[in-house]
Amino acid sequence: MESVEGGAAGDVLRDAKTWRARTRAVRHGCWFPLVMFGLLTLAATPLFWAKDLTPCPNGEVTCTFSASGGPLGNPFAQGPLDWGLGRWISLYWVLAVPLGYFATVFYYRHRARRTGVAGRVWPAAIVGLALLVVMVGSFESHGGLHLPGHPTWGIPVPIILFQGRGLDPLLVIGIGVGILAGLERSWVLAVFAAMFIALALLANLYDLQNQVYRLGWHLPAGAGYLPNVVVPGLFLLIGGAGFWWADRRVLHGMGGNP
Amino acid sequence: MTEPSNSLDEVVHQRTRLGILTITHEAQRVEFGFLQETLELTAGNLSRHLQVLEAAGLVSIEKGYEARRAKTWVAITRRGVKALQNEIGALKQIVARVEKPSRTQAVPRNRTLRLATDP
Repeated sequence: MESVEGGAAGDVLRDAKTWRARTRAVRHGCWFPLVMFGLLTLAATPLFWAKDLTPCPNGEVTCTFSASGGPLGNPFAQGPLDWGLGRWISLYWVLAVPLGYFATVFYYRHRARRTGVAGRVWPAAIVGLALLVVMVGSFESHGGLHLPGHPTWGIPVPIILFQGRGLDPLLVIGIGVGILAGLERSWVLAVFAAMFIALALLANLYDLQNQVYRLGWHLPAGAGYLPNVVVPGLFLLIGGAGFWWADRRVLHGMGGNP
Repeated sequence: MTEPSNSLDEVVHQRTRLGILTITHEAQRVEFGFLQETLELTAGNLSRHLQVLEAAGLVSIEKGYEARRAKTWVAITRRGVKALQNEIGALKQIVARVEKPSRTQAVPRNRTLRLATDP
């Protein structure tokens, strides 16, 4: 029987490194949720075409809407305002985020059966879905969209901060990807998740159209919110393509089937 | 100072079994066929090694059917994780000792390196 004593310890450690790398490459399936959520984010783009910004509710020429009480808050509420980023965005995210997580779990199970290597993915899906429930549930007491000065009692402050642009679910997606990075023991994915969470925060707190304007691109009226959706969506999509290519390259180098 | 070779577990201290533990440690569970292909073993040989590891409580084996095909899934236990970490740690110590020999235990560069337990 071949034993460790039959070769140098260094050889055995090198073999272990190769086995570990191959198993990880076969197990890694993070490209799928990245592409899936990237496509789901991009598919939301038409909903962010704010065509109903005018007229203002009381007939003013210009008006300001509160940043608190965003559309995700109460997707089925008949709020006093429907300013283009309407109930449909909320409803879309409430359906799309679980769809993305369930598709991811299904994909990992399918992949495990096909390759013979099963990785853990449920914790990421459970945390992601729980965050979505908390996000939606916390706004049930809010009663829909609000004008400035309207009381916002009963809502956790950290969540209020991210309301207004209808992109809170990007944070749910980002945190899910971060947990997946831990499960996959991939520091590259962890860095990617951190970058995406930073981008999601930016998309929730800042109008990216300002930077688009500085680049010399003039967006048509009503399209001002589109960069906040398209940029994170493309980031996920391109990242997913990159991870898919990297895993294939590793497996190809080892003569394995992805 | 304790000799690194004294830390080597007789059950784990074998290339194939170390391979099984290394691979299963990287996943929630691994199918028999993947282990066989990766470690380039016959089914009978792999089965024998799995039996030894299971008897030692280092892996758990789950048998079932998927699409009317028999499947055997192998998962590492907590005890297995600890045994693997100890073994890898001991091997690294041996390598470190060989790469940085003391003045009294200098190893010629062209000599084939063997583990301390070699006869």
